[in-house]
Amino acid sequence: MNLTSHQDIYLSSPWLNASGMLGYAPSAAWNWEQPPGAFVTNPVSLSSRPPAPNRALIPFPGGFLLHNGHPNPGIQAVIRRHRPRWARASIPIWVSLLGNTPEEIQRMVKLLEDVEGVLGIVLLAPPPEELPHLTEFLQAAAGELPVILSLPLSQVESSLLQQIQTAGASALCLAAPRGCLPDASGKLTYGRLYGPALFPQCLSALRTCRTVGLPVIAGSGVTTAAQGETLLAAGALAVQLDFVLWL
Amino acid sequence: MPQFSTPILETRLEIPGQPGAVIAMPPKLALLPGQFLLAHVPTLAEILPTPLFPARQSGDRLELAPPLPPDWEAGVTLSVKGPFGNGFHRPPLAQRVLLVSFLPAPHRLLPLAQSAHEAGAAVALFANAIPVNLPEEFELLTDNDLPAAIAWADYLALDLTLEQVPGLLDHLGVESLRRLPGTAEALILTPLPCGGLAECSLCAVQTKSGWRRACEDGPVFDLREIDL
Repeated sequence: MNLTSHQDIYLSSPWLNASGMLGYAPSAAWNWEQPPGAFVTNPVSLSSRPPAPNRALIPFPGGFLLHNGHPNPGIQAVIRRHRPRWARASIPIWVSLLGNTPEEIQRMVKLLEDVEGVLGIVLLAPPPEELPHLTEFLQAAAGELPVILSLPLSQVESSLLQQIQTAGASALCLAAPRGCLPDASGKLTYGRLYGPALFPQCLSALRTCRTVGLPVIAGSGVTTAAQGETLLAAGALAVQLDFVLWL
Repeated sequence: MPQFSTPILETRLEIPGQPGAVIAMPPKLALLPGQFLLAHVPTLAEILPTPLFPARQSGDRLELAPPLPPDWEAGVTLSVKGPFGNGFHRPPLAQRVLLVSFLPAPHRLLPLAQSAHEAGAAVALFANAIPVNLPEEFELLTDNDLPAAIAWADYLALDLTLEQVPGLLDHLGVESLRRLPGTAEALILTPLPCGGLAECSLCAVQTKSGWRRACEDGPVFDLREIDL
């Protein structure tokens, strides 16, 4: 197996799914030509979260806005249901965590540390109003598993990157940026943006992130192997695939 | 999950603004009324797959319910996977079948109409637009006919959007679920971008036993299970 490694992050291939794209455990549904190097779960919270009442899928030229409220059954139910498949998985499982407070993150990480197959934590960056406390979230996630901070493209900025580096993240993952569009009734809806129109923004963010020396998993807008290779040539440790996995 | 490529044989426009199409159907693929496929045209660089619901089937030709993407033309090749979800479960003994569509085109109910007709059942249809080539035996209903038709039917199948669910009983002109036929099912239109791959819950429907995803648990639901 050709292992790509940096610090304590191990990937058997530089291609992986973005959080929220393939559920909670690897399946045969992977449609990319190259095999996956790790599996990233949907975001998981301490308690269950229902679907957002105003969930929406709103197309725009070059992509779509998705708002679902990160529904999930909660960390304990996710572990109970998927532990056997994680243990049998041939690739590392990275569990994506969504927490309202550092304490919630810490409790979830403790629950995951002894679960066979789980080899990484993907910490979703807290909402912008909580970003001043990002260091506390990262410290709460620190433990036996490497922590990959998932940061929306729209939040990549130099001062924040310095904070991430000193707070002990093993790597940075560039995730779907947030945006806002009117729905069919004209009501403004906020959500995550996906689509090929984001690729230039992803490449630009990758170059910004590389200035601080953290390993970067680049994602958003990749639709072809050539685009992924461009990100790898620009210094990405790996490439995350999102909506293209649904085709 | 079965996957295949198939050409669009022809396009159709029975109802203005509601393009449909006919594709060649693989021989061994069984698609029940209410089930769906997911398809995209690789050469058009589409971002998301389009759900395909059956409208009519004749031999190896499958007519797809509208609306389909307006840039799909005859001759292009679709990349298709599926079938997904659960279809309708019309009781075999149902003899008075009422079909009610609140969508611009009622084509997603036509396979059910066809199978009920072939089984010897009487079929009545309420729709916002009337498809071409409906069998003459089908009774076409207006708003005023609905309450009496509901009392007449022993099976009801609905086609509606998720947004239409809260006002459904008012739309049907009944005050409670008890007024509905013994078996009543609803095909609920929601976004279906991932076909269950992501468990994204964009298609989630609130039922009396909790949230259910239309891509896996639906898109046809027992009407009495839906939280109205």
